[in-house]
Amino acid sequence: MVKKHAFSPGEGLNRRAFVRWLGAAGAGTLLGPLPARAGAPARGPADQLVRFPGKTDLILRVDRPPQLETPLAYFREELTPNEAFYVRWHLEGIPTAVDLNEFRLRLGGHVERPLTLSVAELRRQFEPVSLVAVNQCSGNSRSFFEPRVPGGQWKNGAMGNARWTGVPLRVLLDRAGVKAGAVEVSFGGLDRPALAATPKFGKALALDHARDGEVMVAYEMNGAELPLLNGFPLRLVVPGWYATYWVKALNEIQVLSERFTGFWMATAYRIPNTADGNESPDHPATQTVPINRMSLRSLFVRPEPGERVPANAPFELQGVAFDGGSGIRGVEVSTDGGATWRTARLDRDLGRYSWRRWRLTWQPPGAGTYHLRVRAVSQAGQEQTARLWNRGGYMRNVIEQTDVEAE
Amino acid sequence: MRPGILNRLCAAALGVSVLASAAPAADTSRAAGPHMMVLPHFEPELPAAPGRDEFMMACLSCHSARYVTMQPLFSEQKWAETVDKMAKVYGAQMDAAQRQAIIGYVVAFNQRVAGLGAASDGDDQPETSATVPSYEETTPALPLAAAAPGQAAEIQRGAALFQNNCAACHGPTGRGDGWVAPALWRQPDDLAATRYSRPWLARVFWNGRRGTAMPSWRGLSPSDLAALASYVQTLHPPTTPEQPSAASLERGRQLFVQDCATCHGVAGDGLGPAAANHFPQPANFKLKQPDTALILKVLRDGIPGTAMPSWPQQLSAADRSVVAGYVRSLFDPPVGDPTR
Ligand code: HEC
Ligand code: HEC
Ligand code: HEC
Repeated sequence: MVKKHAFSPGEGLNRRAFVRWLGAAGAGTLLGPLPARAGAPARGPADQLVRFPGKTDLILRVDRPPQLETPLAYFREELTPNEAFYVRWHLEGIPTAVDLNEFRLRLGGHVERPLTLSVAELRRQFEPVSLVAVNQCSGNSRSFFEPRVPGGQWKNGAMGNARWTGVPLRVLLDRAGVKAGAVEVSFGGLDRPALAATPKFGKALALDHARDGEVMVAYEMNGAELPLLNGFPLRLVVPGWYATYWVKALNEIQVLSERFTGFWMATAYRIPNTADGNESPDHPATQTVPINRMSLRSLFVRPEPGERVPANAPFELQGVAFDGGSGIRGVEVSTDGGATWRTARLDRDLGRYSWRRWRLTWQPPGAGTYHLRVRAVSQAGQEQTARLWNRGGYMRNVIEQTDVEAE
Repeated sequence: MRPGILNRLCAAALGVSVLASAAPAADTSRAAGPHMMVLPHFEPELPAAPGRDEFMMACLSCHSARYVTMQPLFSEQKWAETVDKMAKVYGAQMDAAQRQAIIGYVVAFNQRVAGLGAASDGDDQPETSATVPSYEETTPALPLAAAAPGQAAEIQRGAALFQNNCAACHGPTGRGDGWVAPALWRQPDDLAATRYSRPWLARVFWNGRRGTAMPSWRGLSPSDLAALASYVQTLHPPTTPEQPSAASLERGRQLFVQDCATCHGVAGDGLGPAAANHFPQPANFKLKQPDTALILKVLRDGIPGTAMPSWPQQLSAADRSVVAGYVRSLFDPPVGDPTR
């Protein structure tokens, strides 16, 4: 087998060569720097768009294992196209080939009748259900944390809204017959670590949650099969919860009579045990819990960072708002740094787990810089706050601000 | 959906150009059967600085260096925590000295990458080459005791260790087709295509293969490594040694001295006068013996990204066969090595 080599010798690079090296980083074109958000810290090298199999051009965060971010412009649609949907894997051994003739979903553990199902059987033997839900990475927007924290340095594009179709997990659990004494259900996929010391990826839900009728084993996303990079052929859908639970390439469901202790629940993806996931960098919380339901958020989709708008002419501000499943009651926008607020128009309601698109027509009264803000209130009465920080860089949901130049 | 429009819209909105990899689009048909993809690679190049070797040995097995290049500016303390997390939580292999060197490297690397967004590029101070040590693999502190061949129990233990530690990349039978292999840029070697002597395996286990996913295995005990070596040595099927004629060997020797010795050394030990300038270093044919098919393939294609050139222009097919025979004749493992 002839080897391919990633690294050329590159000995003795001087500073200028180093800058060139950045310019030529990887095989890709390095793009001109995106305009920085006013007031935002410098964010290192500029974004680079790359194309992976089954995907359109997405922003490269990591090539191996792939972490690819959706450009903001795709959020001008209600549903995020499959080929533009963000990608995020943890372990190097991601499934690059899946043979449906061989693939089986196994449901076992503390059950009466363990199940082994092909995708065709899942499609044929069970009534399909559909639901629109936001899938958002726990670390979405991590690069906006201050002080900064290590991890995937996402901007706002580690999320998407899609219509998921599949079989409710409750139906599968009922068919298998959960035995008395079961407490949790764990989930594993086809991805594997390179080294045996690295913990395999796995997540768990409380039994009641797993049986709530909404958690779903999905085989379709927006009416088409899932892209390999988004978890083909099956993905767990946990409406309202962060995407870390939406196990990709799902092939193993275990009903447990004891709490799940896997690394990715017990050690990783933990948030401070405080009301809103907030803690102070100087006094980190002493207790943590697994991350869970999504916090309320509202975001700008237009203007994009650096976009200029015409002065004295109407411009439609746009964005999305969502929470962990209560739905959006209202969205307010300020164009004067929070002094006054106006109510935005909401697009149609696609269900409480979907995001709600919002718009507000605004006419900048003259040339200059405007400080825009957006905040939402959920049906449950939750409001957004001005500040949030935690060591994992999770659950960012502060009142968003963006500066725009009118000219 | 209107991907085309959205595409253009996006590129326009972001003011960016778009890069397409050569990777084929995934099959999106509803058909049963295999769905496959070939992953493209955008591994960043690593600037030369002290500690790069240690970084390349320890940090590329599980993810690309973009995990490092995407981070904002962090303190040395924070990087030390991250490096320790890699070792303790995920199983990155390094000893105390390597740990120190890696921290130094990622701190310097991070400062340069993360600082760039803000800083002007006016600083043209050339890096003094004195700060850039040339690479030398450490001699293994690992005299892989020559196994008594046929020790079935030892080989069996090695096989179990191999399944646990190596099969993810090299595949269950060492053919280079492990689960992780499709994700890697530099592919794991097919361990059945080369006869490896124990000193060579000791070197590979001790140093890993810098710049590739192949980690250093210093963390395993010497007896485990010896068992692994014994098992790896069984993967190459026994062959009857070919007997090239004296004339063919002499012709091969002349070609080798003329075309290959500057890098591979006259004796084939990988220590030719130009060897020190290259990384990875030229193969040592006294300690490993690639199969004829592999040599011919390498001579035809070269090894992209390394100093090893391709030779279809310079050498006729007949000459390539002759030189391959000579390369194989150089194999000279130490006395007592099972491959001898
Ligand atoms: C044995 C596998 C392995 C090795 C070797 C390894 N890492 Fe990691 N690394 C991981 C995993 C797993 C993650 C988390 C992946 C994820 O969540 O996407 C990670 C994440 C990271 C991150 C992101 C920040 C964080 O804390 O999650 C950085 C930076 C990083 N690694 C640097 C390094 C450096 C430097 C080395 C060399 C000392 C190294 N890695 C070696 C497995 C490894
Ligand atoms: C994370 C992936 C990975 C793991 C795990 C791994 N290897 Fe490798 N190995 C590689 C790659 C990639 C190469 C090719 C390196 C190159 O191109 O120089 C390689 C090369 C080798 C070579 C050939 C080196 C040479 O000089 O020809 C040997 C022998 C080897 N590995 C043995 C092992 C053994 C034994 C283990 C387990 C203890 C192991 N590998 C685990 C990725 C891996
Ligand atoms: C300019 C330096 C250079 C020259 C000249 C050169 N080689 Fe190489 N060769 C290398 C390097 C460096 C490697 C190691 C690449 C690697 O480890 O991936 C190598 C690797 C090889 C390998 C692969 C060994 C293996 O097990 O993977 C073969 C076979 C080989 N060379 C044969 C030859 C022959 C025959 C010639 C002369 C016709 C030759 N080389 C000339 C630098 C050179």
